[in-house]
Amino acid sequence: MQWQREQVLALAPDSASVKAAQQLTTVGKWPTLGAVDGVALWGECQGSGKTPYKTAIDLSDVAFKCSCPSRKFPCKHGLALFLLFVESDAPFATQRTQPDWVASWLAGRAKRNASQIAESPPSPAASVTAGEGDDSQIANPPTESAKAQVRRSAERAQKVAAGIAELQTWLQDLVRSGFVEAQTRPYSYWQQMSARLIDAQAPGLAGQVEALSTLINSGEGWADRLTAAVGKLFLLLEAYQRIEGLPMPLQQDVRTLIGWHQSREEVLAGQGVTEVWFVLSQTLEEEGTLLSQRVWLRGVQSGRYALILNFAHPSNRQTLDTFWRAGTVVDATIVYYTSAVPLRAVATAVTVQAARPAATAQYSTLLTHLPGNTVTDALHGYQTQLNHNPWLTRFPLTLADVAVGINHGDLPLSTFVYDREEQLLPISHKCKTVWQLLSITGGHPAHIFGEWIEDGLLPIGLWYAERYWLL
Amino acid sequence: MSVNATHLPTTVQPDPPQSLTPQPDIVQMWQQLVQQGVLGTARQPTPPPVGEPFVHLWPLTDQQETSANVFDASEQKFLQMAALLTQYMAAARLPRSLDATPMPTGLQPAPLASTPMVADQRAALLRQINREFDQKLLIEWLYYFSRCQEQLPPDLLPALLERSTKDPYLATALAPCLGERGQWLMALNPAWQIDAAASLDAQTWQTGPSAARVNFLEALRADAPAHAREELAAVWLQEGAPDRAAFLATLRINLSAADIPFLEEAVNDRSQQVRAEAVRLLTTIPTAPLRQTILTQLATYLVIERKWLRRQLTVTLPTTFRTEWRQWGLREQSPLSVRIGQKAGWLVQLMTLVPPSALVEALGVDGVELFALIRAGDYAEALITALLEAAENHHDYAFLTAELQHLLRLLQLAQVQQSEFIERFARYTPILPEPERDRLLHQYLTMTERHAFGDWATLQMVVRPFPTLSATVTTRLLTQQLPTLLQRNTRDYGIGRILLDLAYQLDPTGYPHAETLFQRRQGEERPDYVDRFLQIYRLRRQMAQAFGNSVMRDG
Repeated sequence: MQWQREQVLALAPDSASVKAAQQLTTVGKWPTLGAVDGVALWGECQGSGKTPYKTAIDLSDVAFKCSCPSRKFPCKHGLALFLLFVESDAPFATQRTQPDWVASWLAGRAKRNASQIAESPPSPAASVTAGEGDDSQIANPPTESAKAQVRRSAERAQKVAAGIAELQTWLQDLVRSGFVEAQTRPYSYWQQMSARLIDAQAPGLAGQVEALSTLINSGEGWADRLTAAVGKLFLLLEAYQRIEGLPMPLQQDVRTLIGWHQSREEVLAGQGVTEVWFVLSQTLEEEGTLLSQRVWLRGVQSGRYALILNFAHPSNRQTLDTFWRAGTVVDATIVYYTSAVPLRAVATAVTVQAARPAATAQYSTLLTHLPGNTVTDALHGYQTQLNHNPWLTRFPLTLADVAVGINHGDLPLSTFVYDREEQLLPISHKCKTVWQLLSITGGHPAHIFGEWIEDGLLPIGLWYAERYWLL
Repeated sequence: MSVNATHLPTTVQPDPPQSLTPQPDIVQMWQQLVQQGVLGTARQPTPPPVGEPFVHLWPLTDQQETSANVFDASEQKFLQMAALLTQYMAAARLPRSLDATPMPTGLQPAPLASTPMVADQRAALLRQINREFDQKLLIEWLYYFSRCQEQLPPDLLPALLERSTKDPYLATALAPCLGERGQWLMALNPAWQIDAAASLDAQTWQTGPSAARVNFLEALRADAPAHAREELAAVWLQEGAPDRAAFLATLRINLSAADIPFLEEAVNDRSQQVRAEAVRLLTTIPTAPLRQTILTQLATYLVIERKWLRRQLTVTLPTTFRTEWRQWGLREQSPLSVRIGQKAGWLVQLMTLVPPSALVEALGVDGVELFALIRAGDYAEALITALLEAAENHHDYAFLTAELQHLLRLLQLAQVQQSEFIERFARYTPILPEPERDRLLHQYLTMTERHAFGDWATLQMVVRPFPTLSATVTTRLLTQQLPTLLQRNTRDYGIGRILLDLAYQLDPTGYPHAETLFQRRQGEERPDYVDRFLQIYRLRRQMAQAFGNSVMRDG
């Protein structure tokens, strides 16, 4: 695939590494530079010692190796080598074979990858598929590990139930004493409840209690937001009490919100959707020690949305996907997590199509002319899905031919989009790119992709002047 | 977002759906519920009365057992209602219509672009520079761009405008690049008014910000000098002193004898700042009576006499502080930093009022000779300072250039030390026009070949006043001077700083010389500051190439 400078910089563990790497992006620093097309890069970088550092990059899976003593990963030499490579004028000698030190490293990686695949256990869902029509497997008694798994599940359910009971009491106290009184309570009031839910193996609920603690002092409208959030939390607890009566996909949504996790293997056992996907956005959100990569895709034939979510520690961002680039198209198989409104997904067999502006334009036309792109229809689409999953947040919308308007005189600035039918939706106050949106469109109609969040539309990208702009 | 909900203290979907009635019930229910939550059910146990459309639902939820009966009735009803109303308002919300009242307004869209979008390669460089925020490179990029008929990448406009509000140099560079889209965007945000002059016209110029009004007058003065003066005269008495002085200074553009009457009135202004500006302008006009008066006075204090075969400057200090001097802006207590007596201070101040070339002419000598005579006589330091200041005030550089040329001739004849030339060059060049500076430096470098500078600090002292260096000077520096200095000393801590400055000053065409100069030999360690130097210089080279020769930088 064609790497971009931004993609390389996104791999850096911190801004200091970027700066240090940029100082090494002069050819003179690298007496040796070599590449095997599409396989690996390597180079020797002169450092402060006599012996140059040996740096290599596995292009097939983007992994770095360097002989320098840095504890950062990738180190500045790895980043600099990659930057030199993507900047076209760097003289990499294209060769058929790698030097021994590169070849042995690549061979080691290949061996480890092969052994990992061999050792990975079959997923439960995959076992069921394999057992269909095979009486001997069905008749077999559960193994010891399966028994242990059942026992652990039961123990966790008990812990969660205890945590929920405690949360209900806490919630009752919150409502009885009132939100104003809660404003005066220390942070430990929220934090202790959250910690107890972590102990009860209900991290999802813990996160929601943490969220309440931020709403309590969130400025104008805080009481409305808190009331709504408390109502949704109550609804979730009620749903969990009656989970057996809910449709199966919604049961999974409830369990996910409580804190159960669907493993990647379980997801991949499901049916995939293979087609051409338009990459609508690739964004990184950093919250404390967690870096979230959010990639929105839309199938150009089906019009289905998919959200790829990856997480990493900020110092380990090279584990995030590096091939998503907004405004391009990919061939991929998308497998959705089980949900009443399937959006989150895992992508497999991703092939990034070479930059083909004509194809991109063609797919853009297809996407923006799909039905349901008026303001009324898009909002209705969201509300329909809300009936299936009442806890739905950050729902994707594409609005065709909408212009941006401003309520002058409102402070803070209040903005909205309106379509040809003169129906309007507010732009969320959380939107930080409204000036970019105005600047790109000049107030003219554009096709906007964004997320519908609690107070309005959060624009993320747009089609305007025959290209796709990521905000 | 609905009309009925605008008074709610909320941003969470307070809109009742328009298709369901009665809407006010929903809003009222929500408000009462929030109020109950704020106070707590212990203080306000009664939930809001249940109205449409929940009235038929409510008995069901009321009877339903929840959560193993852990909730008391009041809390349970509150939580049920919060869940229900939140869900209802999100799921049944309808978009507003643009023609409803009271309505937000749309925007008057920007004019459709009449120029093409900036080329991808240029835009990519701008994105890189903007991301790393190198102010000098950003300004240089904008300098090149201002000579193209293209649009700035619109997604970068907000960031550039935002930065310009805190950086006047960037604002000056950005203003001519904004284009129609930028002007349109800027008009939407009062905080971004970096180019207010563009919005002023003959009707509105009197009410704009001061800086914008100055720009307006300057533009008018360039096109119609008399009309600009009349516009200024019309508002003269209404303006404050700082504005009067700033507006008056615009008359320097196309200054002529026709301005004398207006300026002579301004010499009597109540503000000293205005009087000083009027005097400065009047003495620049050869036919102005005031200029003759001052020169006549100076001729009584500075007399050149012949003694034997040599000429000599005799300086006679004024004995009293004349009354008209105060009107011309002179101070009785000398404001000069030079340590001189009071009477010498009066003379120095008087000398700064007239262009040095006019003084030279009045004294019957040439510039080189006057410098020599001053240097040989009393009060040399003070009088030279006066000449430099006068030259700067009146943009009269001819005699300074002549002096430096003279020194170069002496240097060639080995009659002065290199250090003497460098000392004077460094002193005079900051006030010389850039092409003149560059020409003199080039002559000096040619003459001295590889040994123009004894050390890095001397190099820095000489080139510091140059925002940019010409291609010829750049080549000489990179192929002759820097190799010599590098051979002498590469361990000096100051080299990094000096090279970094040079990276922004050297002409981009010289970049290949820099690469050759710093080409790393096998096994040789190269300092980080060299990499940084090459990185910045290479970016400038890429910029110059991206914009092509048609917009290469001046000088």
